[in-house]
Amino acid sequence: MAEGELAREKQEVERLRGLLIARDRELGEALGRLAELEARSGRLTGLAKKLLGGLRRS
Amino acid sequence: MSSPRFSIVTPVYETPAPVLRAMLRSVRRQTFADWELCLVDDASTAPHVAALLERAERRDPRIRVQRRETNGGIVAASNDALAMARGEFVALLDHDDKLHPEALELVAAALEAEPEADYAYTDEDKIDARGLVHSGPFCKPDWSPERLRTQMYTCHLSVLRRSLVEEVGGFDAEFEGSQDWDLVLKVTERARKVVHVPRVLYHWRALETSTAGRGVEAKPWAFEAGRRAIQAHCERIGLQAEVERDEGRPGVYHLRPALTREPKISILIPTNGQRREVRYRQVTLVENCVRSIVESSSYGNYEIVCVADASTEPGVLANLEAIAGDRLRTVPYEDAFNFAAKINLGAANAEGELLLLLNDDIEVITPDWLERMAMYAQHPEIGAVGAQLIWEDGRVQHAGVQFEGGLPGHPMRGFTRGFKGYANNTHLAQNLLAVTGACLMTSAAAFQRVGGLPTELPVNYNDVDYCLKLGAAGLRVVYDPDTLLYHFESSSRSSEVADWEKEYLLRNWRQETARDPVSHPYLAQQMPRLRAHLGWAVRKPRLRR
Repeated sequence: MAEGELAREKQEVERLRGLLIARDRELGEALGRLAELEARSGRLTGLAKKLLGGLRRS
Repeated sequence: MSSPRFSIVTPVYETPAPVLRAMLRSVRRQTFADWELCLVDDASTAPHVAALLERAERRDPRIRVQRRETNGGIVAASNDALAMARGEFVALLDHDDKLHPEALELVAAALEAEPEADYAYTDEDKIDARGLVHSGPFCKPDWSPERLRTQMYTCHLSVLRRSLVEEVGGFDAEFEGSQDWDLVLKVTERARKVVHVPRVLYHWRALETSTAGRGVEAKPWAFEAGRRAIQAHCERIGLQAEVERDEGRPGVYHLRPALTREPKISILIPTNGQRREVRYRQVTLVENCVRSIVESSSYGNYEIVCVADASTEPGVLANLEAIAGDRLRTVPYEDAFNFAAKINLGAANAEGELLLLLNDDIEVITPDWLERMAMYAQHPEIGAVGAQLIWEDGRVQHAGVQFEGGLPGHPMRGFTRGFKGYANNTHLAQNLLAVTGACLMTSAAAFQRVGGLPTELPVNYNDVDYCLKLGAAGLRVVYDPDTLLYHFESSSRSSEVADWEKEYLLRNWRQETARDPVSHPYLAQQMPRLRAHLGWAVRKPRLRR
């Protein structure tokens, strides 16, 4: 295989790796936000349930 | 007249009449009676101020008023009020704020329970200009000297032993705007004990002119004064650091290492030469780790002690030598896997004054990571320092260890790095009961003092047990969010902990971990519970007649 072709292939491998890493970062950002929001909404749901329960009892 | 338990110290200047009345009323309505209120009018020109203060003085003999001839500013007026104080403790109350009716009663009870306490602080919230709407309850952690160096988190209500306040010279005009922070830093440097009352007992009025209302815009100079106060404090206590303001987060500060000496650090890395995919490339983890240390660290004086299983391929060891050269020392390990035993073996072969426990699936991000950790670990009162660890995709893997039901967990695991947490707590250096052993610095002296890592715990909790032993020996554990490293632990890895390991921890440390000093009864998942929002309305139940 010609040297030039090998270099181009290596370059392409690096480009694809870069794409995957960037995609992982984006996914990580989304997963992280999701985890934060889920924790928050879980907390708010619990709070709302407590309030509703209190109102029903009264 | 015998001296009261509390002298409430309040400088007054041009306070609107309803606000001043509300402040006075909140003091008069205290359920604890043994107080005096030392008011200093800093030459207010509004006639209602003198009239209201005079009337309050006539109405209650515990209220004493002085008037300054000229306006001297907050520090001068506060010092005049301090000079009037005769109480055992001084409570700081701003002229536009309010105390919860049970504030002094609950602080008195806490001080009674801890006779050596020289400083007490409570939780707080904010009230609007009319004092009707309560918001932003701040449920604080227990005493954390490291956090006080990065945020004035104790703030209101602060109650200080008067003899210590006098010893340190009262409020210092050099730090005007952050004079209370400076005073608390100075007093706590000498305090035998500090207590936290976990109840919202102070209501900070958010006015256009106050920091509670407009933040940094209201008093920009106060934030710079805060930085100088911490800097002076670091110099007094021998913490080799330069203090920086966090421009994006007003009220948050960071310590940058300014080491005057570089003690030798021994980086202990247990390994078996495992290979794994990192960033879509198969790597030998320990080689990747050591390469990142050698290529990224700005610290000069360190050695790397690799404790390698007998099964480690000779090629790996040869590669490590090629990467780290003279810095590397390899210690063979022959027995069955035991992280604690491997670390202890590494420590026995280490020359450093400081030891750094490091997993082989770590990669350095911040070049000054060793300086940062050494800045803390060198301090004689600090036993261990931990770092923030993130996964390959940028999410948080470790931001300290917190306990729930006596067992440790990783709060904020899986969250984004930018998550500010509660009251910016993810961005603040602070004291915790434990940090992960995946990256932990400790002094060799402390390591020896507590007998190293427990070999009875070969896999889990040996780091936690080590930190708890340090705590029992009176040493603090620090989490530093500004020390950042990758941890290539799989995010889907199940944290399998055997029942016997849990039982071991509970059997030995139940008392210490039953209530984590960082967690708060009014907080759940980084958010204030309903009880925190209603803290201002909570009164102790009265017996019906």
